[in-house]
Amino acid sequence: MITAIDFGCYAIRSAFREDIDGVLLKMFSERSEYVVLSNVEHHQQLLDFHNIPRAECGDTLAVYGNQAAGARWLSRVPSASIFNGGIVPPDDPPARQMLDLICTAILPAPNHCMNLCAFTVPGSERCTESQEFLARLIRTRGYEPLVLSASDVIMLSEGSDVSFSGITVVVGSETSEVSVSRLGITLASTLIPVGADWIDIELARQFQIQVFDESGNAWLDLEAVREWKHNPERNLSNPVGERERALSRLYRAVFDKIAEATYHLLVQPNIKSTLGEERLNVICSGGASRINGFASALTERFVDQDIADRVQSVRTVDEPELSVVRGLLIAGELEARCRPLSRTAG
Amino acid sequence: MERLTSLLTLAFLLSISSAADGQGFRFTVAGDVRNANTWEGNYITPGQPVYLIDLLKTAGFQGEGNAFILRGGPPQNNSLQAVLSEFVSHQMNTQRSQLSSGDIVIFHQMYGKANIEGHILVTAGKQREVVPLDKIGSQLSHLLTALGIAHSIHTRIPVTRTYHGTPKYYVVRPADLLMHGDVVWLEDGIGLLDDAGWIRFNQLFDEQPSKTEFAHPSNPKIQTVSDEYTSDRQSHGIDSRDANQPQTTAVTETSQSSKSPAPAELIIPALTDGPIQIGVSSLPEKHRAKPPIDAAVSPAWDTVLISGLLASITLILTGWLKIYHQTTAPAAAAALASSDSNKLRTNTSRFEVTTLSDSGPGILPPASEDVATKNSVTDLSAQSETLFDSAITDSVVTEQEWLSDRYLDTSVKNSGPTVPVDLSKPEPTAEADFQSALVVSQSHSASDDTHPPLTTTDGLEDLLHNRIRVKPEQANLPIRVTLYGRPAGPQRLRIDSAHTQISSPKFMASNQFCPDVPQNVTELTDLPTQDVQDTVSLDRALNSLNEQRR
Repeated sequence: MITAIDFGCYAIRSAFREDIDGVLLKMFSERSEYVVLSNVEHHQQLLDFHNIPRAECGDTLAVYGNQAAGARWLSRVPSASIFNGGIVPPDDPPARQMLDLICTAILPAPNHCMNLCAFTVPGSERCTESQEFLARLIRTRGYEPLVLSASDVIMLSEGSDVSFSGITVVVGSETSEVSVSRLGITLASTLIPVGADWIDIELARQFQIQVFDESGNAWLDLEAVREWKHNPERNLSNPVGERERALSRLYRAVFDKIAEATYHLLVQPNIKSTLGEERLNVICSGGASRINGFASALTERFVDQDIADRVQSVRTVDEPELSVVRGLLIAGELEARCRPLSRTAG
Repeated sequence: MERLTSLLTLAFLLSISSAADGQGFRFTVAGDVRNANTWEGNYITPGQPVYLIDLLKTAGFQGEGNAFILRGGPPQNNSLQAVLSEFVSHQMNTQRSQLSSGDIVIFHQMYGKANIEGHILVTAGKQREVVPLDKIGSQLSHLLTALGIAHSIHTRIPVTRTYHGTPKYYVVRPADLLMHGDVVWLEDGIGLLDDAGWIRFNQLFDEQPSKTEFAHPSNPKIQTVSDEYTSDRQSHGIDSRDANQPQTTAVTETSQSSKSPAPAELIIPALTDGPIQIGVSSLPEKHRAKPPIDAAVSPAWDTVLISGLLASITLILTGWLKIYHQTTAPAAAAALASSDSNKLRTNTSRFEVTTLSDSGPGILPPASEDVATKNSVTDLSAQSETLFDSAITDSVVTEQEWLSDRYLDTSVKNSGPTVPVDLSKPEPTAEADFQSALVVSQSHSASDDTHPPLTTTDGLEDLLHNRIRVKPEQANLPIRVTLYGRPAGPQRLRIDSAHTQISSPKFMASNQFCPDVPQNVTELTDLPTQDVQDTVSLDRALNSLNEQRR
């Protein structure tokens, strides 16, 4: 059984092909967040009535996964990310246990053949603590973990028309990744510690998009920002209104970082010797890439960084929520085809 | 006669000196190649480049794939390891990447399944050994145990892994699995392996060839002279290797020299200051025994050398005559016309493999490629015997010796596993060849049963082109669980906490008693100035009062 899990700071997605023919791809997606409620009787009765999964953590209740957004109104406190800060939180034991519950729910039972699970690490695979924790979770489910980076697998899933060569940009929730590949092989990659959450938080701060809980505490309302941002009317190239212009400026700040990182990658000696002056296609993915005008705004940043002559085209993927997990599945399948059975069965 | 002797001796010394002046090189090839090994010697003239494609061809790579060149040691202090990856194919005519001495090349075949025994490369200082995984076990702990290295669960060994297509640097625990093509850096994790460890290591893998000579394609003359010299020395018992072993083919000669743990140093007096090393064994310098015969003080050396030279020249001339007549044969000329001497041999094998597969009812499996090559050798010799009267040459150059036609064709297989050729048997017919090929292919498939290929799904193309249908599923989370600990909650989204009691106004307080104004901390350190102004605009009134007081 070849499976894939994309541990994202926004959602945890898994995919696998259940039958050997593999004509159908089963996919699970659970939001990687939870809300904290007070452990009172009427909360329990309400959750029981609607069959909403919950976890009891002492004097509090935690609703996690996809149901967290629906239960948020009970406390008016925004959802907390399971990967707080883009890592497996060392100071949040319930969050780590929720990860175990979600992993158990979205992974199929291993079979007698090779059981391989390709996965990404939130933030980056360079965070060894998070990687080790998630690998152990997968191992306890009977799978052999195979860690990969999101930018690498995006080229596998979306680069078939460009010979799996070019630049991939993945704007995640907490981090952004830039990778240069040739024929499916990653030549160099880099990580930028800025993602879509930074844009949302800054926008909420500048425009005071807040919510108050029953105790009077003020919280940044990221859900409201996301809902507004994902409106199809939003456009980075032609912003209308002050908030949209601020959004465009914040995106531009992130794009500056991405273009700068891309420039530093392209001037590396091994990249220059391998790719020469070849013009590269840029493939963008991640939840933040769904906004209109993303590609053209990033192209402007490439022009400003003086690397436009190295870029053939800039495009965004059609299904950013699926492309990473599909690329992981491809990587897992390729890995399984190369690996003898006897080495992993033991 | 004296003039001839002096002339020949002078020519020989000049050729030796040119080889001795060559730049010493050392490359290691591992991965999906038929002869994963370390190649070293002195056969490169100064300034002559060594290309990746040449080295891989010598090591016997198949098809096409990615080659990773690891230069230098493992990364130190979070520095990056110099790794270059390049797509390599037999169809490529360009020589792109140039190697430097000491490079490690890991090749991974992209398409198809290479029938290569899984192995890893173990490095410790300048020592490098290709270790088969089947013999030592697939876990790192097996390797450490075999080397006699005390380890615990806290032991961490750095490993460069290229299996996934991207070279990555891992720190591996003893319980972790090693993978085909891994490079294990022993010097970085546990210190240099001691001498006793290397002795045990070499004893464990005594039958594994350790160092091999590299046949540089652009320098066949120097290679020939060196081989000639080595063969000559061996035939006279000067070399410390076992001279009693019958010298059959060049392939067996190479394996003999690598099997022997004894040293292979030759001391040539009055030519160079230091010894010229040919086929250096893998043992450290101090473990090598002294050569049994000191050539510098042997009085019969000159006579033996000159007689050997004369015999060599005779053999060269005879062999050249035989090759010349063989290449003019019409059957082989069609396949060999447009190639140089090295390609000529390869094309001969391919030509015969095609003929062999056509003679049978089915297509030969890839596993029987060696057998097909073997049969092609036999068929070619049969053709040459019908086209060229070798009565004279056979009396001088036997089929087992170098420069005979069998040597030429088996030398092509120097990079791969050897198939013994029984020359005493009569020449097989095409039908017999096919039957034997079937037998061997069946044995190959039987041996492959021990490592059955994985049956993976066939929809990879659909996945690659996003043609697969996705069915969203809802995860079944447990309705009610009890978790340990207290959830941290969305701490970073909290702007201001509610005050339990309202403190008195501080507008009239002086600056030095004014508490610090809490400011929101952003993750991006170099925010635009405009954004920073916006974040502090909430306290604009307080800031304005403070500025007026100043």
